[in-house]
Amino acid sequence: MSEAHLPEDPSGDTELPEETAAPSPAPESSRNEHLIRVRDLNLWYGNQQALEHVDLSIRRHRVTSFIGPSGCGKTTLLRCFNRLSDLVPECRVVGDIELEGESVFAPEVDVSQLRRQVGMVFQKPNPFPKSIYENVAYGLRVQGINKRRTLDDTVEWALRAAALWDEVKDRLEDSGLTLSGGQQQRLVIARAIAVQPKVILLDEPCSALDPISTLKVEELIQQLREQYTIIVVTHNMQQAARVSDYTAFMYMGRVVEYGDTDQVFTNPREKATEDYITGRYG
Amino acid sequence: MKPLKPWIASGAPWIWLQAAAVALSLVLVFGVIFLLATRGLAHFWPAPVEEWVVAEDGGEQRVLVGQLHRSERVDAERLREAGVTFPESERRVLRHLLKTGNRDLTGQDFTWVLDREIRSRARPDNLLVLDRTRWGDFYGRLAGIREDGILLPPADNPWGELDQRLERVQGLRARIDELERGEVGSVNYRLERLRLEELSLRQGLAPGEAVSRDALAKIEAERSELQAAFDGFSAELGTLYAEIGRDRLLMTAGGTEVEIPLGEVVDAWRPNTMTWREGLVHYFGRIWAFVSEPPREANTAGGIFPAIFGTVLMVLLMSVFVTPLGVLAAVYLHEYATQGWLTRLVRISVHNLAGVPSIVYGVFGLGFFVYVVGGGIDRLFFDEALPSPTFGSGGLFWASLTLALLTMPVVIVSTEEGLSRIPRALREGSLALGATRWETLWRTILPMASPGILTGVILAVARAAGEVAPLMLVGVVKMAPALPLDGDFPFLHLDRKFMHLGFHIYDVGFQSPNVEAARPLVYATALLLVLITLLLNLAAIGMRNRLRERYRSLEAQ
Repeated sequence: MSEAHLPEDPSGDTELPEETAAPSPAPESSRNEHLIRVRDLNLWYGNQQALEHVDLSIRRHRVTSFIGPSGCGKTTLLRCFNRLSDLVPECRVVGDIELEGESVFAPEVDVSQLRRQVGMVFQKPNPFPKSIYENVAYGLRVQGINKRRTLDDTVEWALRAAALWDEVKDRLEDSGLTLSGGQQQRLVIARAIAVQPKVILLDEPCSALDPISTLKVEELIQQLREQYTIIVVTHNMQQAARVSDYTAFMYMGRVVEYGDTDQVFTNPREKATEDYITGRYG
Repeated sequence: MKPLKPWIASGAPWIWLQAAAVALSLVLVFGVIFLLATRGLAHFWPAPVEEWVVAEDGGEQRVLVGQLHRSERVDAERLREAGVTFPESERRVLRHLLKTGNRDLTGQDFTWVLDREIRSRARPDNLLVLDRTRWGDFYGRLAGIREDGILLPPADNPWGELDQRLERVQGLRARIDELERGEVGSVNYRLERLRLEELSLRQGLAPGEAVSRDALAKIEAERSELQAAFDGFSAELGTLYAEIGRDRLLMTAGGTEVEIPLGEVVDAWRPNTMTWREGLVHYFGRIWAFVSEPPREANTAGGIFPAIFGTVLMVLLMSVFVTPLGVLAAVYLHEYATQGWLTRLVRISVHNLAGVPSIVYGVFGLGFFVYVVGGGIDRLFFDEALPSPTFGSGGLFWASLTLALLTMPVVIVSTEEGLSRIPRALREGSLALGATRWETLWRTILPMASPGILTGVILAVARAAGEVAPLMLVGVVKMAPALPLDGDFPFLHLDRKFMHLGFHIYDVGFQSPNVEAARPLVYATALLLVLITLLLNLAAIGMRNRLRERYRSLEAQ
């Protein structure tokens, strides 16, 4: 492992400075709040370490993006926030993540409860083979909410929030699989926000989409940041620059640099970040 | 000539080969259906009755009446060895098998006739075929009708007279059947239950204790009520039998005059006078009788309804048992069990179970289900009936369970295949919404795996419907006295023995006293078995296709 160009102690760098130039005003009460804190997180798949000493804090109602070359641990880190990491049998975690001060990895945590607070959108659109309506209502039905009025209202609200309502309002009973790729991805976002999470994790949400659909999803991300804390993993650096307020650059399981997106892209502190951004590797 | 090498390299010969293989399979399948259909269904057609005058060389003339069954050419030498004499010049001779019926008169149903001995063939209009409840078919001429022993004066229209009287007898017989199978059977069943109830009352007592008078009185009251009903039915049956025995037919056949009670005649027809339209009506009537009536005369005549009923009911029960068991096992193996050498071993064993000969399952079913489990159930719950077994001998329940066990591997295998086809992204999508593993399984994965599950059920049904060997050990019989489903509580009698088409084929074809006469029935029964298997399969396939349609786009991903 080439440690040479990595900072000695990434944790010192990753605590964000007090916010100075927020791209848009957030509610006053949560202006400076860190919703998620990652504390010295290490993760192994079997014998292979995938995350090393990750420390960072995610601000409420902001968009944070993780960039970095393939295999650097972005997605692995993302899947720790809602403990989808549990699904890999040989996965072992040391360290912790706190969501609003509560440990995520504590044994007494109800994983379902956690995942309701931390929604996730995947790389490939994965609507269920059910109607559009049932796709959005799925999370509510799982919680035992079956009242038609509540479901109707929530479905409409979530689809509007995901900027999909106008396109599908006349065909709610059609299968979710009949939608185009971009629509499917927005459907999946609607499905995620229907359960009113605090955080939405987006794992390369546009990598399977055409440019116009990508644009729509990016616009959607901009709208959603008013209500939700958003973390985006992306390969597309322009996208990170366009949509996110903060950017973390990861490399080989470590967070190399974390800061204000403008600063990371225009004036990176680390050589590795600069090399990556300017396309010298990765 | 075309150069060979590029032709081979182009792959064309392989395509031809593959096409030929497909064509051969199709020919075989349709050949089977065609053979079964022609041999089986032709039997019901009202074939003409012929009157043949036959004479051996220099011998005296005989008159034979019957239906031509089949014709064949045989080696003359073989016949000579059998003692038949005819000129040296002939090598191959044509002979006919004539179904002459009248077994009660001649002792046989069929006669071989050499073509060269036939002097004349005719189809007189007045030849009558009688389908009887005893002794098989009768061929002959109507000479008169006796009512209460008195010969009626010759009617203007003897056929109309016959039809009218036959209709009356058919009505009476339907009522008798209804009484004997329905009401009397039901009363007998309830009397037997009362007897067992009383027995169990007496058995449960401590020494010296007396049976409660009230309970006994209640049983006695019920019994006398049933007995009264029974006596009523017996009286009604008595009058019905007297009524049905009123008319007797005077028939002539081969020069002798015979009296046939009309009560024994199921149907009478004159095939030589039938137009094709009448023939068709008669044909479908007989086919309907075949599928809707119980068998007669040791299964060589009548219908096969109980066998159809038993087969379908057994297959349905089997599906009810095998589907949940197989699906649960597959879900555990695929979703919950830690994937390791043990799981792999279990999976390999399951795959291998599919290849175990079915008779082995039959032996297991007999040894474990019937004797151990069934014996245990009898000791626990049906103590009063012992030593006559209730569940301790073969029956519908054990047969279905045995077949469920036999077909479980296919359900497990195809369910597992269905489960593994579901993309991981969908499971994660559901989990990420806060669904537990169970909720994910129930709401998303199982519905999506349902086409795979149904494929398993289809294969299971296909295998179970045709299985005979294990059933012979665990509950199928040649002749079941009652259907396993009737109006007496508990309606579905899982302990009853039942009839099955597959076994029926074996029984009629090889165990029957009159193989030649019953052979068309074997083909017809086989055709029906194929059709029923097809029907059961089509139902399951239709269901699967509807599910597939719902999850169609998924497989394109």
